[in-house]
Amino acid sequence: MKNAKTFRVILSYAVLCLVAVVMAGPFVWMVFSSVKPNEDLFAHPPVWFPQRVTGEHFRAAFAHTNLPRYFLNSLIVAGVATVTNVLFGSLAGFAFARLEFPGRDVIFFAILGTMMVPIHVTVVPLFILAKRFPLAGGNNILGVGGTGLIDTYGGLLFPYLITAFGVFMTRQFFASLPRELDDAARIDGCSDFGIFAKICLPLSRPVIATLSIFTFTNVWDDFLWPLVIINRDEMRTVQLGLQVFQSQFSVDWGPLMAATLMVTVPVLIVFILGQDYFVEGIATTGMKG
Amino acid sequence: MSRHKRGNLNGYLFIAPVFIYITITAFIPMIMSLYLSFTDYNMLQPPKWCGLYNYKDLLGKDGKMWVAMRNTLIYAIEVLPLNIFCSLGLAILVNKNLPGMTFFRTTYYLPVVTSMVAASMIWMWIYDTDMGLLNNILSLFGVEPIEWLTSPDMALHSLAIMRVWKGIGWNMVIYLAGLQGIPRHLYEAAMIDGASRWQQFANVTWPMLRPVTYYVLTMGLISTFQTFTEIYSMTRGGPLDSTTTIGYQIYKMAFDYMEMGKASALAFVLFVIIFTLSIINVKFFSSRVDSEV
Amino acid sequence: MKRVFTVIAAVVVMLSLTSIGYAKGTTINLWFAGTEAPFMKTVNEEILPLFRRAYPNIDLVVTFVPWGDLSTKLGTAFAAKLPPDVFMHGQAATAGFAANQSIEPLDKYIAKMPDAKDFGPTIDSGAYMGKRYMLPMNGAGRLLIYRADFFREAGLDPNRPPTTWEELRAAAIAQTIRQGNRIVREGLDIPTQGIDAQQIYSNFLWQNGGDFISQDGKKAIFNSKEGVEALQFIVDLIYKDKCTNTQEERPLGNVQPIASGKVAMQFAVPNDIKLIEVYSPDVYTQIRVAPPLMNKEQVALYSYSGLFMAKDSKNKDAAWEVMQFMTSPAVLGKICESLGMLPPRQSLKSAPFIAKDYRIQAYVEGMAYGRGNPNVPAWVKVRDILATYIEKAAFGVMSPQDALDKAAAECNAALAGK
Repeated sequence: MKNAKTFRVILSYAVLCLVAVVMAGPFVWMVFSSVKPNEDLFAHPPVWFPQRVTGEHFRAAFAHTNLPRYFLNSLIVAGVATVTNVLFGSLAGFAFARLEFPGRDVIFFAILGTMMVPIHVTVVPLFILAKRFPLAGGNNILGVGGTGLIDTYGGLLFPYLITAFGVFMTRQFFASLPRELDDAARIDGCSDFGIFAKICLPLSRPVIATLSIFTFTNVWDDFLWPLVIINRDEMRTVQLGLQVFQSQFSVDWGPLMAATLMVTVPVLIVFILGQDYFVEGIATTGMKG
Repeated sequence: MSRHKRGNLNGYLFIAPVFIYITITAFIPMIMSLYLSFTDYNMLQPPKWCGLYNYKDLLGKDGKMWVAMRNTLIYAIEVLPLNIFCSLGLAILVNKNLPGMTFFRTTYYLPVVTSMVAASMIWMWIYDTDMGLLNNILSLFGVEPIEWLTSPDMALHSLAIMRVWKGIGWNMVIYLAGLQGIPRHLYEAAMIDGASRWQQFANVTWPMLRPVTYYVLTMGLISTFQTFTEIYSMTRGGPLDSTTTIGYQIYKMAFDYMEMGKASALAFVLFVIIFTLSIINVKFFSSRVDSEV
Repeated sequence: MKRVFTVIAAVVVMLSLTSIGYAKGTTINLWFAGTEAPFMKTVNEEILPLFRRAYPNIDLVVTFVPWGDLSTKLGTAFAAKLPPDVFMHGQAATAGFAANQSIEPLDKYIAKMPDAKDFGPTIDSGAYMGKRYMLPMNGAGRLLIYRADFFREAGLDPNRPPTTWEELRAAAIAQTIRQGNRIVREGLDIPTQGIDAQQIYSNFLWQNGGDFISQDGKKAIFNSKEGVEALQFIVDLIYKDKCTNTQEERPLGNVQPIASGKVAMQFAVPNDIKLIEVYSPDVYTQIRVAPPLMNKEQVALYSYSGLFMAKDSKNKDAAWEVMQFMTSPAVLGKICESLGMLPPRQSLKSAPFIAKDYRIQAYVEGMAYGRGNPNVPAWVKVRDILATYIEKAAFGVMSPQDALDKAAAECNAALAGK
């Protein structure tokens, strides 16, 4: 019995390590490439481990772009969007999962449907709406005359503040919580909001963490929307900044890898922080309490 | 009765901010696109109404849309089950309370944060026929070089493998959150009944994860059916159109050919397909646990 | 260096004289295509300060747009009726914008330009229906490049590059290395997909005396006898001479296939040469550039990018000043150097950055034989259709004649706006 368990643990670790190599390989290559001199980057046969280490690519990344400013912009946009999505998304997700009201499922599927049209066709209408936004960027109340949300944080945030994605995710998780919880709370005289805030939310910390991680990652990584809504350099986001190293015919791999690596760090930090809420047994203690 | 009414009102109140905001940023653009799908629109001139012309043109004899549809279907069929299987498996593995799990979870999330440019670069190198890593390894076993990305019979499958690699980490996180929500006492009860590990999975884990799997599958449908990025950065639809997907074609029509009307029409054909599939999905998933999906 | 400085100073003085009289705070939005670091650095650190000194009254907002996303960004901007006053694009974009009255014809401005002659024939590269819409900024040609060491290995003289199809074929066969049925080194790389396939085919088509589209822009004529022969020549290289294959030989990272030795000859643009210099310096010394090939005509594909003015620009005169400044000899020279592209001005043909490398010089000399793709509104679509069928012929799925006939039928529909 004991032996079988040890064997299972060893087997688990063996599988975990093997998968880790495959999953992390390209990322590790990125890390190595960021410190290899140009001539070694694509040596043939390939040199996996850097033979010579250089900081030139990191220097170049900073010299050619206004990276600190791009970081600030991306942090503001991704940070704000994460908070609003968690707040409003979970509220709506709760209502769709656990409250009864006429038209509930129709409205839900309509919201779900908005994700099914590719961005490449909705980007033009969305851009026109952002430009016609009333009383912004010199526009009058009818949205005419100025540049609207173009080149503003409002413009960058426009499609991200609340997304169908967050609603859908929280709904699915709230749906999986046992119904008896609500009924017990209702008998105790708890309001709907009370059930949401005092019962469901505390039980859903892994979900809130997941939604935060995903929203942050999505907004941080998005390229197309910042591309169309931003013209001025000081409003660019990190993903636009990375374009500097890609040109018509080629890619400047060293600085690109260095910059990409730096751009990846905040997303990884958010992921690692979010993981603290993935502690087995939260649900259990919640149930018993 | 009054209680029920209050429930109604609260429901609308809770979804109001979301509903209003999504109406502005998603419904209205969508309705505008739907209108454009009935027009001849090149973004330079005002749209000209052309009725069902775009739809007739796409669904008619124009061969490329059907080729793209076929490729998209094959891609989704290959990517989705494999992704769900792998991500659930990994989630169960890293859900254990063993040392080092934070490290493994983070490692599995790395492909998600690895930029697509960097990822496609390294996969092109892995897949390269003459100097690629994969063929080098295979040659040790005496396998002849395989044209992973340059053969019309292989390219789509090679891209599917890469897509699974890139997407597992994402779904693993969702399943991880789902696993955490399963009350421990259900397993304890199962163990008292003498259920084997497999029975525990089949009778507790899998049914409890239904809403999560519905989510994973639906989001998977939405994203694989719109596949664009890896096609654009790795194969540009070739060789011989073997990797041309609907998402890639919509992009080409919209911004290469400036045929926004036709691109919108294709987008709504795609919309109908995805929507239908996700409704079928509901029926399938709610066969046992009503109203929970 | 001193001379360059004098020229810049002269331009600054001249332009500052003409700039008097603009309303204070005229804003001009300029979108450059391309985000290469050296290019952006040159513009931001050298050219913009010069401009601001010369035109204190024009608030010039420069945005650098990646080439791959240029049409997305322009499309949305035009759709929202907020296009940039001036934007850079390739000559192939001219017809689409011009046919929809979205860009301003430049003839009346060019007529007043004192040194318009300096552009030579390149000033017509953005012409559509007899009007000129583009002020050229830089160009690229697709010429055959080869390696002196591989030439010697195969017993060929590196100082005598192939000049005709037959010599090309012979050189390709001689340099091909096989292992069993597999080609280890292709004598000549022929791209079989997308833009590359179409561009290489255009070289052969023109060299054989053929052309793509009839003079009136309404009919595809590449399925002529000349066109079919050109495609047959490519297909024969693959299946008869077996000196190339259907595989796309894309650069691995920044290592061009010719630098890694996967191919012995390829058709390259000047930028490829620059990459070989940076990433494969030891191979670079072996690289040679052949002049445009000839079968019935000596010709090669050269295409230019330049500046366009939006029809909706509210400050056209100021916009023109910006265009003129950016294409003035000193500024243009700096921009082309930073991009590693060919300058469209005759006076820059012997600029130091060109004179120092005989390879780039070969590209500049080849400009005299340059020809551009046709300017028709549906060009991108026509190009893609053609590329699809070239690929079918290259993969042996269709015969060259059938492929080009089908392509021509589809292109005719596209040209008719269907």
